[in-house]
Amino acid sequence: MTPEQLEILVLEAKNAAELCPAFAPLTDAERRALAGTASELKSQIYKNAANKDASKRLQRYFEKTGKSTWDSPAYHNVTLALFALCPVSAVKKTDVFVNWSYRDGLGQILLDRRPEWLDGWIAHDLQTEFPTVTFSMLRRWIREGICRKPAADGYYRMLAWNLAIVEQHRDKAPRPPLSQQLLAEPDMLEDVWRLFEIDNQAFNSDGWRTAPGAPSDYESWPEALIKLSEAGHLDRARLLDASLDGLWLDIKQNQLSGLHKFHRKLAPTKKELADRQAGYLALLCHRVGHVVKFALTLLSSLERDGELQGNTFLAEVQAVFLQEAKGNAISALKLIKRVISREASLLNTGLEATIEALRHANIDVQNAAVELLDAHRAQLTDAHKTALQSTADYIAVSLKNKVLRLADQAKTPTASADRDGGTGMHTENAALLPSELLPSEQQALGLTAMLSEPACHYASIPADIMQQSMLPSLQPLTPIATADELISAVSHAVEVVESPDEVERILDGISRLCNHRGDDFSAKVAPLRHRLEQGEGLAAREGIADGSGGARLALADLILTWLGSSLYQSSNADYFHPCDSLAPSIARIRAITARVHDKKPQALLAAPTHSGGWIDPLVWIQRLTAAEKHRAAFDREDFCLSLLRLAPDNRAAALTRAGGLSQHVHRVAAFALGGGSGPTHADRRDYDIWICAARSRAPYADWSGCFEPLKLDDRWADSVLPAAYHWRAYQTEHKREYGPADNKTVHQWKTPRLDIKVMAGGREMDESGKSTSVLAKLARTLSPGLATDWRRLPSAALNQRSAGKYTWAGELHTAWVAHWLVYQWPLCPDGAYISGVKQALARIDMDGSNWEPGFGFFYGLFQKHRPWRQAGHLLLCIGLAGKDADSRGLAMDALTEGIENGCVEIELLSETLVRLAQGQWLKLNRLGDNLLQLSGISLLHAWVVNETLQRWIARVDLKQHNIYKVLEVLLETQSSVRQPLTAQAAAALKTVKGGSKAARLATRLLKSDDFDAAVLADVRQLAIEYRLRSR
Amino acid sequence: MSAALDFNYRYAFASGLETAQDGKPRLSLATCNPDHSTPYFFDGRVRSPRIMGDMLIALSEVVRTHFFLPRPVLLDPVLTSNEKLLRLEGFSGCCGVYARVDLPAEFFTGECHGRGTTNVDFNTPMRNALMRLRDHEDVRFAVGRDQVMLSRDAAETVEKKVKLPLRWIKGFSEVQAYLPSLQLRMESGAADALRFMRSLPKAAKPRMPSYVVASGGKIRLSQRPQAGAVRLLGTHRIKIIEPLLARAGRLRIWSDGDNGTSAWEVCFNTGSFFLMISPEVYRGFSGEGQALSALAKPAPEAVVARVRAQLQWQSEIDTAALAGDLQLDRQQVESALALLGSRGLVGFDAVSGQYFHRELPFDLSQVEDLQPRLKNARKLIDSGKVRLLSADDGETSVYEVAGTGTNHRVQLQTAGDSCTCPWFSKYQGARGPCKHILAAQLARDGEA
Repeated sequence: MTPEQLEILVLEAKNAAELCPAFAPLTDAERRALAGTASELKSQIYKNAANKDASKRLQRYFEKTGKSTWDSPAYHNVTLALFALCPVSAVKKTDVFVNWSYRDGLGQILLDRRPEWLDGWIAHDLQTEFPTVTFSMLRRWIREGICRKPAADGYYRMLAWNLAIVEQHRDKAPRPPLSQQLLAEPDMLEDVWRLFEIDNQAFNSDGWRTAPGAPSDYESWPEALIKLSEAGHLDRARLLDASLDGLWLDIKQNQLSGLHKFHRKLAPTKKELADRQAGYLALLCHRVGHVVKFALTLLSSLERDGELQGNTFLAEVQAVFLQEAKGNAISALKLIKRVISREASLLNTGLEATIEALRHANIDVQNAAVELLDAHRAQLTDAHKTALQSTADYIAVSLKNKVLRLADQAKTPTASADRDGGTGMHTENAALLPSELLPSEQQALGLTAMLSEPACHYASIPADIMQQSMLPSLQPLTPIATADELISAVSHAVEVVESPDEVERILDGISRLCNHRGDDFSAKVAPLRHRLEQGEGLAAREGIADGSGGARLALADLILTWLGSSLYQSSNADYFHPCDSLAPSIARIRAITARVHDKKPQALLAAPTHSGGWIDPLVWIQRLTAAEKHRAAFDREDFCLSLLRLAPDNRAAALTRAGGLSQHVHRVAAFALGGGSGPTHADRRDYDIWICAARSRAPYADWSGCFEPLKLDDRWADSVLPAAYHWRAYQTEHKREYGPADNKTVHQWKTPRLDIKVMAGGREMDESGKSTSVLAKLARTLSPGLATDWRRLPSAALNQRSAGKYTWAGELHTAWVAHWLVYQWPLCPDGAYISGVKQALARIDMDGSNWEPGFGFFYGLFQKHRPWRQAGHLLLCIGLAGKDADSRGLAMDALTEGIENGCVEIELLSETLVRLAQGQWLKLNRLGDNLLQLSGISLLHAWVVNETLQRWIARVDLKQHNIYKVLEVLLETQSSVRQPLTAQAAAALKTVKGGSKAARLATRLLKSDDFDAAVLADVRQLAIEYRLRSR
Repeated sequence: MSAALDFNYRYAFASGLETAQDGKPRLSLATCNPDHSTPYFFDGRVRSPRIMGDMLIALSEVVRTHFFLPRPVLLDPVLTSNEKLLRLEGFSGCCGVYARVDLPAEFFTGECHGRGTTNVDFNTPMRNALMRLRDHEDVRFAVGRDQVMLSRDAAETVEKKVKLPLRWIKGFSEVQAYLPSLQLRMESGAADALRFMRSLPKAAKPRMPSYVVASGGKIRLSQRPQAGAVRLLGTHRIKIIEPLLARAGRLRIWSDGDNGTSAWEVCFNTGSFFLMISPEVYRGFSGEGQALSALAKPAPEAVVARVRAQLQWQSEIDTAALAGDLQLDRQQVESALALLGSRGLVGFDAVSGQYFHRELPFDLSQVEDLQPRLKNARKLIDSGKVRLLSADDGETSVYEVAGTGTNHRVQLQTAGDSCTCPWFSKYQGARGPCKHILAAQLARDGEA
């Protein structure tokens, strides 16, 4: 064969069948001579480009085939040519790939060539992730003596897979049973042992391997091996040992499962079990739970047969208690009990092992261990008692006293030792004494009742935020002072926004400093501008700017307008779903943008003076005065927002300083600050300003009487009328059927739902915010009033329903934007919380998502002294019941702090949980785990949890799935607070009958008699201390 | 795939637990150096076999784990031996977790046969054997074997060919740059620490950073940053130490508030396990660039050479004493040690606050070349893309450095350098200087 003939062959052969006869007669010398040509051809065909000196034929070939040759016959032909002609180095290259349809041809070519490098290449190939060589090819070569049997693991993996595979091809006959395949080639019988030494699929416990389509005589590997051992072809003892040894391999858990299932399938006899006892004992320290379970099961059999080496078992079994699995630990304790019952001499060691179980995380395990120890309390030695004491820190509260009694220790001292969860707070002086507070301060902190009534152990802060002082506990915000500082702040915010406070500082900075442009301004901002204009700066998920739409698009336009000289006014992308709640903020940003473009710098009235969106009224009056003095342009959106951000603090003082304002502004300012008179008919065109002033003055009030003279057509919630949220938890059931009529697969599932109605003045709003009743519609038609627009009312905008729609493009999926919603009306963020509830509910059973994070809403709950009200409690409970770890974590933090600073209202919390439970979708396991953790923080937290749950269980269905998780928490907290159950809770618990875990817990709760009245005094004292610290 | 070195661990025998001639169990660690020598460092008895077994298993978990990809990793730990201490260090396959086991002399009764550093073979049978060590057993422990015993046992040589990713080597050496800035933040009893570990999310893990907060003797996880809290991302990474806590005395938590690195020290009556994790699961120590400034402005080579000459496998290097001996100021010695740390020639022990001598048994000549940011900074200088805009007034100098499609402003100032590039804008220096700052620093310091 000449090089030219080779080229023609490669380019024109239609399949491997044409190639093989051409290469077969070549001698080694002829192959060597053609190797270079084959390599060059491969290089050109693989990269789909002809060399300069390539033949015209080859050039024409590339012209004809166009861009892609990777699946052409020439591509596969040249690959086979490499194997036929080249040295091993050429075929070992990583890019060499033999198409499946050419693999038989490859087998024939190598059979014809019989290269001396074949063994080495096979070993190399079998180590790759996707070997070229096939099992049938290998077996043929082995049979014909062309290669040795490979030692590589890959060969055995192929063996495991290929012999067990079910032939799916219709035209091919079913494969013989696996045992017959092995017997047909007996050398493979020896290969079997390697399957117990490497990672392979022979013992996988995957059900799909045998169904569907398997013939009736199909044999899995375990079945075949057992059959062969029964027929004497394989050594049964060796199979038992190999499967046992295999459990120590570092392989996947399902393969381990397959191995021990096979071991049990071999049905070891009593003697066989006894012979392998050391192996089973060794497995007790295995890290995989189901392997330990297997060992415990067989050891249990040995114990029944009287063959268990008790002493060794008791030494080894302690390892089981270090693992998380509860079932194994319980089984181990049962076995210990049997061992020490059978052999009294082992009692001492058995009790030692039992004491180790007290370190286990699960309460049931600890309880089982305590019961076993209690049964042998007379035999407990001093050493045992010392060991028991050392476990005290690991024990659940409900068991601690029992354990200490076993250790001959006194009961735990009155809860004061544990009352603060080890915070040591009770030993430190509180920040100040209650007597140092003014009565109004005591009232604001919710201390009045706690200080005056010994029976009051906890009281939440007053429900009216206007009684609170917000500013002293908040971080003052420093305005951006220079253009350089502004550039730096914007550059950082384009990449990531740490807090909405930063966005507010930037807004204010750009508005004030937009004309501060030194000579080198353009050069300084060039990188920032470049980044935004190139689009990268609009792509950061948590950045200030975004190219899609909404508030972040408005911010992008503002920044670009500031950086350059053009006015940017981009429109939302078609796919973008805007959040209506942010409409007033967007309007404000657009207004600032227009002013920046006009080079009219101006301080913003609504720039927060303190973190969280708050404005100090004294500063606000200064701003108004300065704005009037400098004849600043009136910015309606900014003014409205500033009214809603006024803190309750310093209002009276601010009112006294408002005298210098012009009459119109003074009237509004005075009204907002609690003085002056309300609006008149002449103010109706400025209804937005007056409504914001009213919502600032009394956020939850019904202002309809005051606004009567304006003759407004207004039915928005949190406009003239306050919003109320009526909600109901329920679930919808779904059913889908798949497949043919005679063999349908039915898929059923339930979806958690919350029906939330936004009410204004007792009337429900529809999607557009208008009341839905016929009478209301009629009234609107007939009303001569001036229709109000929610877009001009930031408080009302928070209730717009579209905010909660579930859409990937929603801007509320940026965490800082969700948090920023609260800044729109910090006095009453209920509407923002309800948006958060909807967002969180949509993902309640899903993990946290990078694309749809829902945790931003929870930051609002951390505002001290702001009552949570119903909406806040609902958001909190949804967070506690959700799967998303970020939201759950923040909800836990909020609840922790809320108990300390009095934002939690126990009645409201339990009521919310009751109503959620009525929906039948509340995940009680999650709720229970969270509350259990919370109750460990301090005695006060435990008491609040206990109090909440006692109210809760009295009103919910105690047959719910996982109710025991909540009862466990109740038992633990009951053990901490050491108080009798309320009559209602006790009555509810008495209804729990049967032998379920919940019933057992109910019985324990009802039988509990370890009371200590002094604990409540500690609770109260702790609540007071926490409250004083929250000031 | 990232660049990797072909590395061949060649051990004279496989590490494992065997029965010694006296019938007692003997745990032998096989050793191997890059020159394929097999040093013999230690032979003795272990006072607390179970604790040692638990610590070595935890170390083994680290070196065999890639914490965010299901990739098999076969990277053996490194052991340093001297008369005072046996110290084993390991680094995870993802380059984000560093672990160290300190076994002081009191942990053993035995004899130190040599000082030095070596790879030690960790394998599955050995792990399995470690699980079964019990405190009541009389266990011998050996690091390497003498030649006599080797020839008598005729143990089969164990070879493990691995690809050592260059970023792994780089991270392993660079991790030392983080340790000096760690501060002890909180301490907890073992029971509370165990309770805390058990409370960490199992299935659904937080995607945002969590914070470990302490009140009194208790620690808990929070999702809110607070003063004194330790930032934590990837809670599953610290679960490695959970099995140790049942036998431990206490847990100490260290952190660097600026860059988000944290370290978890499990203290036993004797010995300790130290686990350090990177700020984020997907960010290995190799990409952090904390050592870049040291490499960009290194101590003079002559000083480095003099300091290096003083290294004798000390478990603690007294910087002040060394400075006195060499008649250098302390700053120079610390700078030289920092550079040697980034080259893998010394380590830093945050607990003692001292460097210790050990030489990572890999070809470290490429470590400095593995700094793409430094390389790119030098390229910027070489291509004349760094321009001084305003002269150094003693506090600030401003440079213009060419970027992609734009020019960046770099300010070098005593209060902290800054740059207008997106990298700096985002991380504000928490992940080391950007290439523009490095280029400006090099230009200022006269390196062209």
